[in-house]
Amino acid sequence: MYRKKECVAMLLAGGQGSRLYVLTTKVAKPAVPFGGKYKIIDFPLSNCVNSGIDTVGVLTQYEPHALNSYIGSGQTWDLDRMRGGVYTLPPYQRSKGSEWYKGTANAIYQNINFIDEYDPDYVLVLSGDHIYKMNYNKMLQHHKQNEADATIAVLDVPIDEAPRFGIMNCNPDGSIYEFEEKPKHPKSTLASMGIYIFTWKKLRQYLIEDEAKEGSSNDFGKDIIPAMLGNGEKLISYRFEGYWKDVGTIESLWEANMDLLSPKSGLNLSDDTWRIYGRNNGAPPHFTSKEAKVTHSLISEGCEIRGNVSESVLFSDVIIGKGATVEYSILMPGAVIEPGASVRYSIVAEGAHICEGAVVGAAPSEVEADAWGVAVVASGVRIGKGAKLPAKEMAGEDLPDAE
Amino acid sequence: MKNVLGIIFAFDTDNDLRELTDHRTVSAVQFGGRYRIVDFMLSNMVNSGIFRVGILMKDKYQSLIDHIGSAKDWDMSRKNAGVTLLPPYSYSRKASPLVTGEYRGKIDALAGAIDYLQKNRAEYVVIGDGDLIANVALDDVVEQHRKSGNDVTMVVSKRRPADNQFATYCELSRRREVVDIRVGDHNDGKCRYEAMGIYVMSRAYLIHLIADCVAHNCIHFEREMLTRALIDDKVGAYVFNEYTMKIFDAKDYFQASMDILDKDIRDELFFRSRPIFTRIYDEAPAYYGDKADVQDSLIADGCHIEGKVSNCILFRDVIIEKDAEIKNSIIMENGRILSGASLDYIVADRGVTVREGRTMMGHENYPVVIGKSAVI
Repeated sequence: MYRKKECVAMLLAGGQGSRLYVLTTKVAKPAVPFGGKYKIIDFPLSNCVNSGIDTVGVLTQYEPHALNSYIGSGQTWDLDRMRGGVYTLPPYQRSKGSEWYKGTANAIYQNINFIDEYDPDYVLVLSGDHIYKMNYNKMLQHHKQNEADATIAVLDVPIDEAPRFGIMNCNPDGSIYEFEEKPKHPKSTLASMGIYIFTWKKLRQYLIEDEAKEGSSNDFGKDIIPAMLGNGEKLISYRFEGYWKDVGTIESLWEANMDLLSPKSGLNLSDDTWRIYGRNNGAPPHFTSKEAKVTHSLISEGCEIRGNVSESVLFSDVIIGKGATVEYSILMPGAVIEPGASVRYSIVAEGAHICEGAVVGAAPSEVEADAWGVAVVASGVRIGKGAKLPAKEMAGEDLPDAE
Repeated sequence: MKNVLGIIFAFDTDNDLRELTDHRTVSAVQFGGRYRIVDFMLSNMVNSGIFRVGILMKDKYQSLIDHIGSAKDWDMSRKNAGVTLLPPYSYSRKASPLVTGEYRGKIDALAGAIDYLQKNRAEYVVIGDGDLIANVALDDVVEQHRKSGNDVTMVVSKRRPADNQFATYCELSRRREVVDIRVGDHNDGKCRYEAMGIYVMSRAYLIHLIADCVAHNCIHFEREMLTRALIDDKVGAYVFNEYTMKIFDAKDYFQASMDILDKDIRDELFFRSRPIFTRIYDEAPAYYGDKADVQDSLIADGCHIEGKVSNCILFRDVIIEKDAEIKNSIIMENGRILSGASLDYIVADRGVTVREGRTMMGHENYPVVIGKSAVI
């Protein structure tokens, strides 16, 4: 069957996301819940389908089960197609031996055959750890108009934050002349968003050369982009304006969820023209009882609320008992907060159970500045009756009942 | 249950929900914040392993067709099974010699689809009304039927003592054999059970009954077909003890809606190992504003609440503006209740806008129904 596609997307979803600590002990970062009913990976996948890109390879390596079963046939994103669709691509054994994905570029290198099957003109490389809405098709048009070899999406960041990013130094016409990874003294404020479009023929050749190079870390940012720049290939920047957030740390994950509560944050989830799709568990609408008080929060289906909730994001099937207090927190699917418990400035992961009278997290005003941070309760963990989990701490295992 | 075929009656016989059924049948009426009433029967079948379901339709069925689509959301988009929509004029006179055109009632509808019934290889058929709200383990009902040796097993409930001119009542013997079936009359309380509109029989027996009824020009399923079965053969009952409500009129609809605000009833209906499936819309979670005041209400995804809401059901994408106050009301998708509006005992169909400061009130016995897309 003839299967040519103009552009195939490759989504890098194999990373552990170690800076999310206990949230990613059992799942890869892209499978971490976000925004009340989504997972992080829903954003790039929905962007793909909304941009008209219907062939997506998802490169998995670390703890792939949750991701595999979540993606399934791709029906959720309308990516169950006869030609194309979504595929999970773990490392596999081949006649010349087998190896893990050594780096981002190596992951694509190992799947050259997959890409070749669609005979694409362009390949879009995405990562599974950012929250944003973006029309990749516009970026592709930009790439084609400029007859570029590679196009890198960039975001203008505040100068004091620039040292945290990979910075693209550009000419006035938008072409890139230099790439600096986390520069101490940035010359520009254009940060790479980790979204690349390559002309496939070019990328294919660079991947093969990079693989042959000894000592290469097989990474897009460290090896492929500098090599292309060094050889004078045409690399251009594509300016993105809008909400974009890396959710690679506990703080940024918490902040990005809190951003959703402010209508002006720039990420409108109820936009009919750019829907974010996520798997739906079919729970009935949520119920708010007469004992409850809910303000300034996002609440998903299946929740049963009898306590006080403010400034929080509740995923599906969360239960909040009478007299419990939840403030500035993120409660992931199936979390249970028993009566009288207090959860503030916290992330409570899937199925965690906070028993009666337990106290999780604290407001920044209540603790020393350096002692404050978001408290985290890992998936399935039980915080015992009256137990206390201070701000910034993480409970990866059950906490016993207080004496 | 590979050898069981499901049949759903998705057209109205005696039901009337005023404005809500102007554009659709009762089966296709929105319920419970995100469902359509037919979702219950369809999900009951899926949850019981019945993956081959024929849906009999008569008129006003576009809404239902749009809702069901390819039946993906019920896991019924199958290669070798799935949902078959059966409107009138489905078959040629050759294939379906009994009835081809418009249906006078359920018997005609079944007769019109006789080709579908004959070609199927299932041993048993479960027939269910699309206007029933209940979570029934149909596999249990089939199992009881199989063991009983009865010709027909009907599911009955004792919950509703009401006096309804359209309801079918029956009297049971101690051994749970049906001894009398009456429509609209419970024989001074002797018929203590109400038929829920779920019947199990062998496919061969159903085909026999249909042919027999058509030959005698019988029209009414409950009055005539069931009575013929009762006189000639053995009819047994499966007594269902959990929540159930058949939706005949707007009052039933309102009552059932308010019932699910009760946690125990919700648990009986939305039992997690037997979920009720429905079409998925991918809305964002519901948003509560700073001044939101919500009590005892079911709220679907996509709602935006700034005002006061108590004892209500809000479907997806409903906006309740600041200083609006709604009580004891049901607001369907895309409803807009603007600032200062006040509603009590109102059922608002899809896309209704209640403008600034307007007040509308119904009563528990007569909830006011506002038609689709109306602007008040």
